[in-house]
Amino acid sequence: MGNRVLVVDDAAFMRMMIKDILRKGGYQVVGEAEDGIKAIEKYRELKQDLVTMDITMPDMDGITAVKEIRAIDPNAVIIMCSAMGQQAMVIDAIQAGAKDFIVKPFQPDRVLEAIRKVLG
Amino acid sequence: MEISQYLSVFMDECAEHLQTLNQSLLELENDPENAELLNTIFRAAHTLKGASMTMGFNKMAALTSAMEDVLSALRKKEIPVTSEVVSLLFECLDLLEVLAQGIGSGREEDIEIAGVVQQLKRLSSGEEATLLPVVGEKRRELQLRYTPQEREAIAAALAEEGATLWHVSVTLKSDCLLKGARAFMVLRELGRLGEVIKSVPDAKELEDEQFQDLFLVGLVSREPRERIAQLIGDIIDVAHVVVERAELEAIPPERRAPREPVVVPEPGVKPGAPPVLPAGQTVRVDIRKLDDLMNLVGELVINRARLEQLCAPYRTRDLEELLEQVGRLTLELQNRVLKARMVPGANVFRRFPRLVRDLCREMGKEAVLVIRGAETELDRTVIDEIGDPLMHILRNCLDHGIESPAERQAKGKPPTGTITLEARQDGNNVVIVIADDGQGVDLERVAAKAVEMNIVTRPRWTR
Repeated sequence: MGNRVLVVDDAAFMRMMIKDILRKGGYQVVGEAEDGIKAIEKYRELKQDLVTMDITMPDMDGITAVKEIRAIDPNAVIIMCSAMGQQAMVIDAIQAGAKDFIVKPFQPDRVLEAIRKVLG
Repeated sequence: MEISQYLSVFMDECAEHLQTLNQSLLELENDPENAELLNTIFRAAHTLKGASMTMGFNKMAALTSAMEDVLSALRKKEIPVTSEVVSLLFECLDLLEVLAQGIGSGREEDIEIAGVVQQLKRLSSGEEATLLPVVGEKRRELQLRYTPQEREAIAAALAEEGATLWHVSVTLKSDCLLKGARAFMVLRELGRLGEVIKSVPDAKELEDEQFQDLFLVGLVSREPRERIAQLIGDIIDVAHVVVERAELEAIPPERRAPREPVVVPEPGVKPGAPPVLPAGQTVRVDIRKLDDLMNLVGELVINRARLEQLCAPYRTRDLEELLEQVGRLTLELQNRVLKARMVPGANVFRRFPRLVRDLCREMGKEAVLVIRGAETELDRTVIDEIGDPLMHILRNCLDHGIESPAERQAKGKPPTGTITLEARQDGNNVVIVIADDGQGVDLERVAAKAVEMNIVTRPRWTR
């Protein structure tokens, strides 16, 4: 079971928060990106076991990014980071191949539980 | 998690987003059809919402969330971009700036946002008032029944070697977020295990979160019961799964009066609490409805008194008993309605600490406001009306009562004055006492002023 994570979110603050949660949970954050396009670049470049992907981002949103990444790597493991009220978008993302979702505001144990399950 | 370490990053991004919002909104006003601008504004508001929620800044989260709804409606062209809407959004930005400052100085909770949020909600819902949906409708008993077409589909699927019709009842955790998406994941997982014939509520209703925590699925699958229960039970936020074998012949067809609930938790499948639908403990009611109710009760009381008068000449034992009974019931009804209108005084007192603080700064004085009995309940109308008078009294305390720090020290008092605002129930009344430890009212000065203004003549007050 791998533990290398790529964190994608347009808010530096959110990235910081999720990185902290991940590190404390024993995961290694190998990269971060602030929009979908950069996420795809990083995905090609890095070797990660998991991507956490925000939905609403400038330039390329998270759902499009999921589709593109899954086109590059059909086995990509992606967890969506959603805000409340993004039900339809989360469903789209899961249809696009995301494995699970976590809801902001993040609760560390829920985040780690979701990650454990998709990586397990 | 220690939140303060993120505060500076949060504040920086907050300022950045506010700047973006201001600029884009200005541009949008001149170019209302520009979808890209609207997207930028939406994203900024959305990011602020997520960040403020995570940081636990509830007021900012509530405001940005309401803004997001309006912006979303604008994006979908459900409401047009008018100058009124833009003005309201500008008002929001001003308020967000105030909130950001409040957060910086730890006073976010004192800032009033209810008015603006209400306007936003009205705008995004397109309705006068938004009431919570009636819970009762959703609490109907769930049952799986099949239409003739569905029965055929089941029969066809069962023809496969080893296939069984399973009835799966899934209960999500009550604190599960985005239940619709979670239910979608459950259905998807079940779809991998076999053929999902139908669900109650149906897939669309589930996605739209039109259910409590429980839903039922009819599944034809070759997988054993244990595997289905384990895989579904493993999904996050699934609290409880019951899988049981169903016989098509034993299920009454759709639309026949139900005889017994289809899902009876079988012992030994997976122990757990039976699915209980949580009922809401409170209902939000438009204040006008309570006013109407109050008026009706008022009418009833008047009519009851009149009835009693008219009946006076014909008093019999029975009539008297009945009148007494009606009187008691009316009184009880009146009390209950009055109770329903009660709101804690905190609702109006909440803004006073900020007021006192601001006034102090303005007047160069120092004072703290001590509030006691904020939980004392007051009638809603009183709450609405009493704010301003109380504010004037507090202002008076600071203006005339509390002395300047230097004066106070000269008198041997602590430089910081104390104003106490106390509310308490006293029988049928609520008593509100405002006291300060200032110099009190100087009668001489008041009198001199009154004479000067020709309100009274000197002999009368010296009397």
